[in-house]
Amino acid sequence: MKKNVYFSILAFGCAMLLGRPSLGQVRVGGRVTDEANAPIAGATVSIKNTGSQAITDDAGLFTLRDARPGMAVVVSAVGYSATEATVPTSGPFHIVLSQRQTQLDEIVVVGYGSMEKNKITSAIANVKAEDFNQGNINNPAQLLQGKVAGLSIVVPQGNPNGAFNIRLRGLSTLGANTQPLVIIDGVIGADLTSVDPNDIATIDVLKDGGAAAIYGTRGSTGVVIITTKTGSRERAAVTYNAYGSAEQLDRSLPIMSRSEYLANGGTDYGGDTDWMDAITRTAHSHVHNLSLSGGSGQFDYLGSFNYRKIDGIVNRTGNEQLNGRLNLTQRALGDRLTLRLNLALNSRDAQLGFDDVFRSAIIMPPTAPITATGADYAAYGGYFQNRAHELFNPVAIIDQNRHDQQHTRAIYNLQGDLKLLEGLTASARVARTDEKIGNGKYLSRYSLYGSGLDRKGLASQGSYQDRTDLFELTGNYLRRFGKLDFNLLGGYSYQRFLSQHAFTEAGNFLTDEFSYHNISAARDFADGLAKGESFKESSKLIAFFARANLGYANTYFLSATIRREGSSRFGTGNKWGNFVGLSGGVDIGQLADIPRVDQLKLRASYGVTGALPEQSYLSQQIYGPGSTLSYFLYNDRFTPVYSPQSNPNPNLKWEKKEEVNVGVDVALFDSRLTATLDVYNRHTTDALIRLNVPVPPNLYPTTVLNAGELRNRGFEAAVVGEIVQRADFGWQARLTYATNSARVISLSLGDIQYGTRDVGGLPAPLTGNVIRVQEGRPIGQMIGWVYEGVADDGSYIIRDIDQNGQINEQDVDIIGRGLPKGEFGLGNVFRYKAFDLNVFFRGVYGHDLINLHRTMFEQVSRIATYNLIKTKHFDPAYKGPVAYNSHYVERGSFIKLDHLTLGYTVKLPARSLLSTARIQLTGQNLFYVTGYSGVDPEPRYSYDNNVLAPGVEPLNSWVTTRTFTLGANFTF
Amino acid sequence: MNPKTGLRALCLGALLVPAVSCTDLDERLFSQLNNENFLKNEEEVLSALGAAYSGLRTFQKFDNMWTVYCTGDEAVVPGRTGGDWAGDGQDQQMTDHRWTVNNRFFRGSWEQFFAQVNACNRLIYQLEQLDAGAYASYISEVKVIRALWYLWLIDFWGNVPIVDRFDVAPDYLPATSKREEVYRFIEREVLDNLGNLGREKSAATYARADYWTGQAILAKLYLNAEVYTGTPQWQQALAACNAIIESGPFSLANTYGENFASKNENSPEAIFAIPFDAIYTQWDWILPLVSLHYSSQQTFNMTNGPWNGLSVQTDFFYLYEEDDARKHHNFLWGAQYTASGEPLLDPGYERDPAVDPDGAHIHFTPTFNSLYNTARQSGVRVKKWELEMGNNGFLNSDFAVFRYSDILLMKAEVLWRLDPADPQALALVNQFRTRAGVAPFNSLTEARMLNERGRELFLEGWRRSDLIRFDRYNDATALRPYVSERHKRLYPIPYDQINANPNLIQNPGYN
Repeated sequence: MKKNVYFSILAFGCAMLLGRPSLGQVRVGGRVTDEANAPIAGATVSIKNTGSQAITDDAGLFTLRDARPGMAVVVSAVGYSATEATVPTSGPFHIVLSQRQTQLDEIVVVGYGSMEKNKITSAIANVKAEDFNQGNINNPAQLLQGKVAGLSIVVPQGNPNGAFNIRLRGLSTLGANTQPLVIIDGVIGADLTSVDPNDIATIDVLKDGGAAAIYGTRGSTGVVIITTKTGSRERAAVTYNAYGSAEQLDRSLPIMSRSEYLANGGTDYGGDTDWMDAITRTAHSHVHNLSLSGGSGQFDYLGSFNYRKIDGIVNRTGNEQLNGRLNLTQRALGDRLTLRLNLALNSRDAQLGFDDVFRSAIIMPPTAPITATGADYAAYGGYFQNRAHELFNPVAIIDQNRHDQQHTRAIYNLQGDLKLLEGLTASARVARTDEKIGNGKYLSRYSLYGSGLDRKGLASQGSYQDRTDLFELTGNYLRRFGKLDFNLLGGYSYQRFLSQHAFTEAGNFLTDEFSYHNISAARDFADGLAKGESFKESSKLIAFFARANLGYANTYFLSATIRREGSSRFGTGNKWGNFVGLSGGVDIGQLADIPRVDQLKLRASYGVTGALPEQSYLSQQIYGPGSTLSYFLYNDRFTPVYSPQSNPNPNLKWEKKEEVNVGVDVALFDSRLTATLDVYNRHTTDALIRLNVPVPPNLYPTTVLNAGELRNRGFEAAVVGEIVQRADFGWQARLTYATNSARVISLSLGDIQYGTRDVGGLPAPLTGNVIRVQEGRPIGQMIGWVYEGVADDGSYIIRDIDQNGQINEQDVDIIGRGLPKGEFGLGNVFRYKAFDLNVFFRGVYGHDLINLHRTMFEQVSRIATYNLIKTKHFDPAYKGPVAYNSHYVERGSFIKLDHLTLGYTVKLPARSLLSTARIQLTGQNLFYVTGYSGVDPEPRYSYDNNVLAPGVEPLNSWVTTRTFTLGANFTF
Repeated sequence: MNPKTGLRALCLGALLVPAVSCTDLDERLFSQLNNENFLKNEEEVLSALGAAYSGLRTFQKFDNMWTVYCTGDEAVVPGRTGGDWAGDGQDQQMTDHRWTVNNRFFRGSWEQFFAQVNACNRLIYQLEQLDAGAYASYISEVKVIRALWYLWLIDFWGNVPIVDRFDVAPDYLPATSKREEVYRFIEREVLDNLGNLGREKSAATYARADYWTGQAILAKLYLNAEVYTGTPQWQQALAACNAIIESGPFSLANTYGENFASKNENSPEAIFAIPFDAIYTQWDWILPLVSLHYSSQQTFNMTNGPWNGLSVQTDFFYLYEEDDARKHHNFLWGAQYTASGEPLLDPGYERDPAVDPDGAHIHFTPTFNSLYNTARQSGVRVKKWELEMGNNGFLNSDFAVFRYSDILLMKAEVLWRLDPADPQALALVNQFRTRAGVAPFNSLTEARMLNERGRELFLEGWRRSDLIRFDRYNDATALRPYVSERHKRLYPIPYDQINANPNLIQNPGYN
């Protein structure tokens, strides 16, 4: 609290000292505008060779000291090309700046403010709407895939309702928050899906600790800042975008046809079914976006309405959603006060379906028919079933059962900026996010799958409600003083999180007609078999923060940040943590006049960020009935039992990550070639991890401890070249490249030695673990026996590493790596007259994948019951049971043509009602180059939610899809 | 607005608004209790006491089924063709005694057993804090339950840390105690608390740790004293058995089977039972799911599908004479049928007649093709505790930790050990043979004594210690065709525990 007061007083004092103009000099006044005669505020007007300079006000007006007619002045403003002008002898001094599109002057959002890109001293990437990925885009993460070096995005294959997995700079924390913190229009911790991709103006990614430290608490995994579009006071516009797409199955697992299945000894059930074909379709989707924007005087607005109808390629999957947004800005008090109101609403109905259909479609014998008659099959609703372990008719799964989700969200976000003095602004933000998810599931009385048949129909309803309230106060002081620019920021942040969950499940219905809509019709309630649960939890985050940015002569830059933050989740005495950031840079291009070099900036940053535990109440001993009430027999009655629910850790404290980043920004040939290179070293200490603790003295075998130490290193490069820039032809190439290596330094705490442990359990009937976690070794070491062929007796030949004649635990070796060595994105944009062509390749290399489907369904011994996968690795000579060894670990490296877009911008007659019109055709996932035989060669960052077990392609992976999209875009 | 006024207002606002809550980071609980609001009424105290009793059910949990049943000669979880239950072989290593310190079943059992010891410690501490006088009998009950857990711990691991306090320093790491010290701890704990425990046997006191439970723990402890300490205590064992037999309200049931019926509560043989119920204790005793074949679901019209795992070992099945009522009661073997009498089929049967000569029709065979890769139908299955039609895979019967039959057989053993020709010992054993419908013995031998206990007490949790006491634990069996190493009589301290606690000492032979 004290800091805040001191800061306010300091800022106030500075303002009083600096805010007065000097008098008694020769002064010249003038005005700076853009080509549309709109005033440009904040432009710098300086007299060449003397250094005397002025900054324009909101009306574009300036007053220059020591100026005489005939003197040359240089005028520059962010976003505009600098120009030279001569002070006129008489009449108005009017300088017109034209908008400039070089990267150097772009505005970059840095958290609680923005800066010109050339002043940035830490690793921040900025992606604008025109550079976003194209096609059937339904999640903002898709916009960025391959665009930001070091930002890895794995799409949930073809699942229209799946969650994206986003990683920035590898793995530097072991908790739930391995994904970057998302900030949308200042709302911290927002969900990426709460903003419609159509509404986004820019996305900024704070990559290093120096930049992220201002968001201290949750900045360890990087920060993604999204700014939505706003209206323009100059022009009212109506924009309509629409596209329709067709999506087809792309990659699945190759399986045996009826004849192959029979030839290898399969059972003939008299049918001939292509099960994958039976459950999939060509999925059609369409998206409409209408946005209205404009403004006048002191008011501007943008409203947008987005409708999305997305079908999944599996029958009865998909979603329908509406995303509404209203961004209003009103100025008042003579433009001193700016009020911004952002309202965002999402409503989404999804048919989630059942991922298990994929395993079933792979392993259901091709000789089995879809439906069958007779009393035996009437029990299954007329579908063919043959009651083997984990074997279900996938068409029956889809047709008989339902699994739906309703998701609504509202974000209320009000920001007020009050200009107190020249350069001094005080801001306040009040925001609330309300989110509700309702899940409904019904398993039919005839469904062998999911115990529907056993339970005579099984219905469940679950709901999640989350509310986040945010209150922030900030003060910002921006001043240019001679060649010195400085920007001071101070603030306070209060955030409260509430989440509630309820779930009811009950079975035994007379009819399937109710689905999950009349759960009281379930007999299970009377029989004591119904299940119900609910919980509520809350937590709080409170922070004080400050930042100072200094710039000298656009050449030397320095930035320092501190955030002191407290979380309710830690133990008493450990709730508060300090997070600091320090970064600096020097633009050598400004110091020495190197030919053709516009910028050569060296920069370095250091920053400390933190991470929170996944849940509340870990520091105290809590008691309760648990998720299911337990009973004991007391006095002839079953009586409830309450007991401790976990081991408390009263010493729980912040996880901390220190990061050093060294980078260089280069712009050459009038900024036609720009490059950004970064190397970083991240060092995480006190990492929060659930570790085995001794029992006794503990009650439970695991406790969340601050025990981990991790190291993460990498290199990143982003290069943009404007190779050809002619009037009728242009060619731009963009390359991003990133490497990363993550290592466990230690997972021990005092006497609790971690040593070497194996994680990542194989699914039944296989047993054992596939990933070895070892202190001092990289994350994601795959372990197993080394395959050397098939013996004459049909068993595997396994390398006898210790040559003792026995194959046992001593013969387990490291047989793969779960995390990639690097990844790249290569985009080329060609423009010829009204046509443009965007070709984007993406690749990841150096990772291996455990193809779990193969470990269980590629053995001839299984063919009596299951259809087999027939990849290039299939070997009928092997007669043994399901197995796991290096034969099932495959290289995952790939390059793919991620998307290709051909666009045509219609040349409109001068008096057309339309101002722009454009049509485009996009193909996504057009081809892969990879040796991987499984579904998707993309790396998998976790298995069973364990981030220490990367590299496993799980059973029931959604197939990948190829999509063609035809879109049109009109502005009125 | 005057800029100065605005700034002042801002500063004031910045002071006021957060001042309400700016340092308040206390956690608010909604769905749980903590030390401040738990144990505020008698019902809550009772619910806390319940943790000691409900925790006893973990004895029948997954890992413990393996450590209790599969390392002796009673049961096995074989690897089956196609890979079910196979993989890294840890399940089978329990039976062929080739386990390592990494074995997950030992880890699971250790964690569950000691979690219960700690739950008892915590409860004793909390009850003492509340009112040590008023809750004296509760505290004694919990101490006896803790002694029971230590009885299992001394049998499995022998040398284990003795932890009898909850209020220990946060970095307290208990050290291994010698098996003899653990023995004395158990003995002292029971003797010190016997006087506080009830002796009444009624529906109201059923399944509570009482005086008879304490005597039964002592009987077991003394019976195995030679194994645990090197010094036999036959007379003390006899005295403990006699305390139950001569003064206790117990008697033999008319038939063997009624002890294991769905409604076996208040059985005349139940000295200390862990109550199970298909509704109230769902998923706590899932022996039918673990043992029965997938297709057996149709034999019993089960509402959960079983997993084709645990089977009876060949040698053990053949311990029974053909017309032994206990054999017919305990096992499912031979051709299987659906509830409506149709042959029970396995769609995944092995097509190779050398592996499964019976084709799709399931025949549970007493023999196995091999321990690690056997036919899906191999192995006799367990139906000792009543499998009701339409069951959900969870047992309704209560599990008797101490059964009167066991105490009688223990007494017979002690008498026989003191005098191999003791007629009372022979008579005691023969009453079980008579009840089972097989011919009485004319004399007792070591094998007869051991195996009569085995036949009577199949899967009741004592076979392992019986085999060790009779020095037969390491013998070759059909599934382990060799004599195993003697150090396997003690289980290894789990790797995770050794790693986390440098004060633990690994058992001999495992380093």
